[in-house]
Amino acid sequence: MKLSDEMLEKAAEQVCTTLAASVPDPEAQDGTFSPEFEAKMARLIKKERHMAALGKFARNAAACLLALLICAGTWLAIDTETRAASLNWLKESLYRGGARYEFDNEGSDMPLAEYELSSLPEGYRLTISSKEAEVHLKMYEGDGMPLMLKYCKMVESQNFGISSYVWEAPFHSTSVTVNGLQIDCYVSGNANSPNILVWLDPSTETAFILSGLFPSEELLVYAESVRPVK
Amino acid sequence: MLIYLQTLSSDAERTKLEALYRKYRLLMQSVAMKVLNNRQDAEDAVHQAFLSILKHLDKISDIHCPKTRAYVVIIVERKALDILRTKQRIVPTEPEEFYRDSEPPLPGDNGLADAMAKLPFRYREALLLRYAYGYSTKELARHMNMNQDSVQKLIWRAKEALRKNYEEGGCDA
Repeated sequence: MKLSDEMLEKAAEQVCTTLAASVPDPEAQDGTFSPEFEAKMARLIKKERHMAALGKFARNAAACLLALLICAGTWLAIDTETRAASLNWLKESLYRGGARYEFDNEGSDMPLAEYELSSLPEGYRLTISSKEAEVHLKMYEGDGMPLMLKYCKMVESQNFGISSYVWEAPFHSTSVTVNGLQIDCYVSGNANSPNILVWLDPSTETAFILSGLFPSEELLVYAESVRPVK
Repeated sequence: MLIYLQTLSSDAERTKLEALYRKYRLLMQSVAMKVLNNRQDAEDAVHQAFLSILKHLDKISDIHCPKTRAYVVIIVERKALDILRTKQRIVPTEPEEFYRDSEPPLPGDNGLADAMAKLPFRYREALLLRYAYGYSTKELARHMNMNQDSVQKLIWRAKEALRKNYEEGGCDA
């Protein structure tokens, strides 16, 4: 017996109708959300409304962008290195003292390797290795504050960033280039708050965060030591 | 959520987004609570579900129709099960194996629709999204955190299971 697409579509519609009838009326539901959730959603919707005002300008700009893209497309078609980099092009935005990284990348089938710090502060050792919501975490502890390495795949669906709650004082950000990769350094203005490095490796589609109560120069040394586990 | 709010391109879609949020958030929370039994996790599932729904706003023609209600339920169930899976690493079974409350009532046609409703959650979800909501293999892969080859195999297995259910139900094409 062959199940045609038409038969399957009709059956699926019937199941959906029955499923909808089996759940309570959405308007008659009781319940509340936590203030944190409500606040988060309200901020997002407010932000979206603000973005709408910029929408008209964006649409006009889109025409100009289209012309630019046609030129860029020709370039990308002949330059494989640039093409690889642009596919992983990211947008970064600062928000409320934190930084959010967004990826314009649907992700290839390339598996995410396991990474570790090959150079550690004296007396430090790996104490936690875990994975939550596709973000890997490695924590190294010694006498001082922990050194924390987080990494994940650079895919569009991934939430990736750092929040302002880690700092109790203003911070400043700078960028340095190490081994051809740009590393964003978020340096805390509070001696008791960690400094944070964020970098992205398009060749492996991996985004990294390294944080710890170390001078940013020292953190950069540890960042350079990040290696795939053999 | 922010990412997708920023990508919306028309006033109509923005209205649809906010209306969906206002209308279905409590229903979605209730569905997620059934799976997760934890308020904070349920809120996370609702949030994740909206991220997913916002990518596919074009698949929603009328926010008030039963098809849309079923859609938000299917999506939030998946997100809740994903959270359950990450929280229950010590349980060596798939969350779908012990979450059976999601089986919908039978449409009562004694035919293909009943056979589809009886499928395991994962198979049913894939077929509903594919044939009721027009998800492509690529879209299904992103939604289910699978690669496209695995999704094609899943669809094939789901159709085989559906055919078996259908024939065991005493029906012929």
